[in-house]
Amino acid sequence: MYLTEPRLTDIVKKQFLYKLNAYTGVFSSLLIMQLIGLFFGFNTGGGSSGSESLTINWRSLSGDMAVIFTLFWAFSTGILITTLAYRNDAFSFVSTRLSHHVSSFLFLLVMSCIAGITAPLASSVIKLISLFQHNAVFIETSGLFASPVDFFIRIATAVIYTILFAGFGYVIGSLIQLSKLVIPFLVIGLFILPLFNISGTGFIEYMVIFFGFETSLLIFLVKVLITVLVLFAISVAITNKTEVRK
Amino acid sequence: MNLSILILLPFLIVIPIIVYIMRPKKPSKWTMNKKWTYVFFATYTAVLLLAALTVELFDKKLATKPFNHFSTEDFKFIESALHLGNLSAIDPSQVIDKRTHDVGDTLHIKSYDNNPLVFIERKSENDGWIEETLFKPILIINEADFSDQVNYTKPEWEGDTVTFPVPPFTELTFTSYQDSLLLGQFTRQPPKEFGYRERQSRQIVIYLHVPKDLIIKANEDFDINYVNK
Repeated sequence: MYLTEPRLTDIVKKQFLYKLNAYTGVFSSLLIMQLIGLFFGFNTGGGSSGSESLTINWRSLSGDMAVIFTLFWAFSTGILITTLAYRNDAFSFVSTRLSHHVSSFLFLLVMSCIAGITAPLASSVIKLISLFQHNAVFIETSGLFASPVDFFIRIATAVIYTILFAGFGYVIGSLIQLSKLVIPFLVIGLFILPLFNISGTGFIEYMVIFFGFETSLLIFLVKVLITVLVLFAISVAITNKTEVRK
Repeated sequence: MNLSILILLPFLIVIPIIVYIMRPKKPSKWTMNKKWTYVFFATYTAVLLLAALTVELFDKKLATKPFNHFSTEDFKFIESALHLGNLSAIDPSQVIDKRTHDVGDTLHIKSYDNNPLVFIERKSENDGWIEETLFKPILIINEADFSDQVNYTKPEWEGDTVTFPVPPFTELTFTSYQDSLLLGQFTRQPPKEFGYRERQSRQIVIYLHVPKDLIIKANEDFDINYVNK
């Protein structure tokens, strides 16, 4: 019996604001990952071709690496905030496992939105530097002024993919917290077995087809939302028996 | 990027993460101040926004002076017109020079490079003059016209002999940029294969109107396109 019964929404709100304020390392790691992505974006490809009297040197730059590194960041952040240190921080407040999960989920959602917006913008830096070069530049993707709808669709796609990767990271992090033995199984199951084309092990391939081949943004959004909710539910279920604080 | 590096990339990223998670907890020697983290991140975001806007302005500026579009069809049209001797159909901007040379009974062709494109059309009379029309070299990369950047040398005429020298060397460098392929999944303009897609190129074309009965002597391996209208 207590004088004041804290409501879940209040606890979640408090924890969410605390996490947003305390987990500044997530911001710096995002910045570093996108800068690494930008660096690799300058080395996407290139070559030389020609004849005795004509040589053509070409270089391809793309925004892919900034996005790929952002997705890796989302995945690793999802794992990191399930670790013991982060979990202990969250229980500095009066809280429950559910409020911890919900606030972490909201934190990941907000961070994914920020990362998803900055990832396509990061490639503008590559584009800008390429325009300052002396040689001819082909800009193969229309920009904000030329095609604003496509520009915002790219940002929306980046945000949704980042949420998805953060969700996968979160559930894997929860599994790891359950038992460290999960790590070798995950590495073997996700990365080693598919290399040997063993049937039924192409989980990544299936995911690529399920999400990557979708042509409707709306259906894609629904697929990702359902997947993330399922992943979240799995995380809540598997960490239900873990200690609140070690 | 090398494909093997791309395949290994997940391992290279995931393994350090796992090692990081598994590491024994030690107090960090250096941590960035919270305020500075936000300052850095806000500056980074501002730079990105500024870059995005500047690129758009540059893009617009470039759009006023884009690469001249030159399709494969345009190229084929010119080549077809040359083979048919229909020079009037070709855009006059393709002509770099028109010259006339007096000639005797025989024209000797000497070439140091075995494939200049030479067309010869016989006149209906023997007027003792060769009318030479030179067409500029063509270099089209990804349907953009780079022809003006190709170096060339005009044929050298001396008496009854014309010499096609080796064309001077041309080196061209270009950059191709595309936004993330992954993010083009739902865009109205689908992402296409980018970089160095296609090239059409040739050196200058020499089109000669020669007297009806002129004897032409050239190396056996020298290819002459005779135009019969």
